[in-house]
Amino acid sequence: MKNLFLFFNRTKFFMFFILLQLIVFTIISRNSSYQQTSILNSSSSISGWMYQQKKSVSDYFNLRKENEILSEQNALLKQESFNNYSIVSDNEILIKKETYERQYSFQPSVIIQNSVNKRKNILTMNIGRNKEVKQEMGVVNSRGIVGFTLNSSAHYSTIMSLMHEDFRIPVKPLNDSCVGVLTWLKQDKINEISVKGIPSYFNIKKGDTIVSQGGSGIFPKGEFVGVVKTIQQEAGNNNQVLKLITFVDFNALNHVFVVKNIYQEEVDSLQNIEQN
Amino acid sequence: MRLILLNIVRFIFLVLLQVFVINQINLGFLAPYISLVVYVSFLLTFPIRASKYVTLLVALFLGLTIDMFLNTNGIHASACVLLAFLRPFLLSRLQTDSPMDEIEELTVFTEDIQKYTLYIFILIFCFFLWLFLLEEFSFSKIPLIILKTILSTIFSTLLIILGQYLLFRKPKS
Repeated sequence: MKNLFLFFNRTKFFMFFILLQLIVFTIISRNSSYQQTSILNSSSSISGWMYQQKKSVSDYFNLRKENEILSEQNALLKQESFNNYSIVSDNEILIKKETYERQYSFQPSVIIQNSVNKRKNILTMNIGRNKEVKQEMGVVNSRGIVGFTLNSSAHYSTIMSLMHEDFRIPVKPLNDSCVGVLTWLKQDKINEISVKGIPSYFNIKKGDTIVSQGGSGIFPKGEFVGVVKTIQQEAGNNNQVLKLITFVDFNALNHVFVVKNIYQEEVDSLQNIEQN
Repeated sequence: MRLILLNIVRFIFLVLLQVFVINQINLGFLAPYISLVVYVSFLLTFPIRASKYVTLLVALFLGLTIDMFLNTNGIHASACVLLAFLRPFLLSRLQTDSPMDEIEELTVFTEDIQKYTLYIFILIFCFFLWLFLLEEFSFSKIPLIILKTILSTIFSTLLIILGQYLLFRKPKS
């Protein structure tokens, strides 16, 4: 017994070190899965506020680029206008207001903390629970998909970027119906991303556009992701791997929109009934 | 008392420097291989007469603060605690000629530059090795981890030593 006490006395410092490491490891293991809320994240009010201050200075440097993007988006919206279309068919198709019901709404926001250098890139934006941001809401900008939300504090939220090794969403080619999984593979650099799981017999060409499939309810159908750069055969099975260049420039993220699926609660409550 | 205040100021300054200046530097094609870390300079120059246990706790707090800003889930905290744990063993070896109780903290001015560089290099090497192991969480990528560790260690050590020349004053003798 005495020897035991002596042993503990001698290794006191080491034991204390191990204790602290154990505390840290519980934090690490609790956060490693992205569905769980984490204690440490930059959506917390102190660091969020500080990033906001930094952003308010650095915003001025990006004004020119932001203006370009805005005018580009304006041009796109103008093109969509019905006035640009001439009627080519006599078959009258009646489109009334009641035919459609809004499923997705968009909430504007600004990325205040960007990250591109890591394997797990997490961004911070400046709206949170005050604007009813919840977990797993899609985030897009005028060019395409950016990521989806993880944690929210009162005024800030963290976003899992497309440039994150755990990011997965179903995607499809714009003019085809096959579905693949969007993944950021190890060899992908920044602004590159891969699509896995599309069988080889689907004829996909270089330069095809890949869009979101919309099945998960996080993103609307047809939200842009990227353009196919190269096509490779996956080793060992009959699938192909598509390498894309993303439309979104992740080095220069600024204005984004949070996608709210109005039907999400309905879907969730239905799934809860099925599970119970 | 003066030393405590000085260290609190230093803590805040180094965290802000790390998050808002060093981490905003765009390293271009080197970005996947080098991560610059200067905030550990706080632990390297932490008062040598402070209790080892206090040092460990301060290291934990420093690491968690950085983790909060960088969204890195506690891996910086773990690496900082390791660094603070290894520090006393190196300290006892570092000081041979000048008497220990005359100085409060170790900087480039109180030590022989070669020895001091080695001291920083070893500690930061261990720090990065542990950090990248936790970040990748696999042993299959050992070559990449070693490469990243060596490059990051060299550049961070240089930065820290240059920073100390700029920010520390020569103690009056």
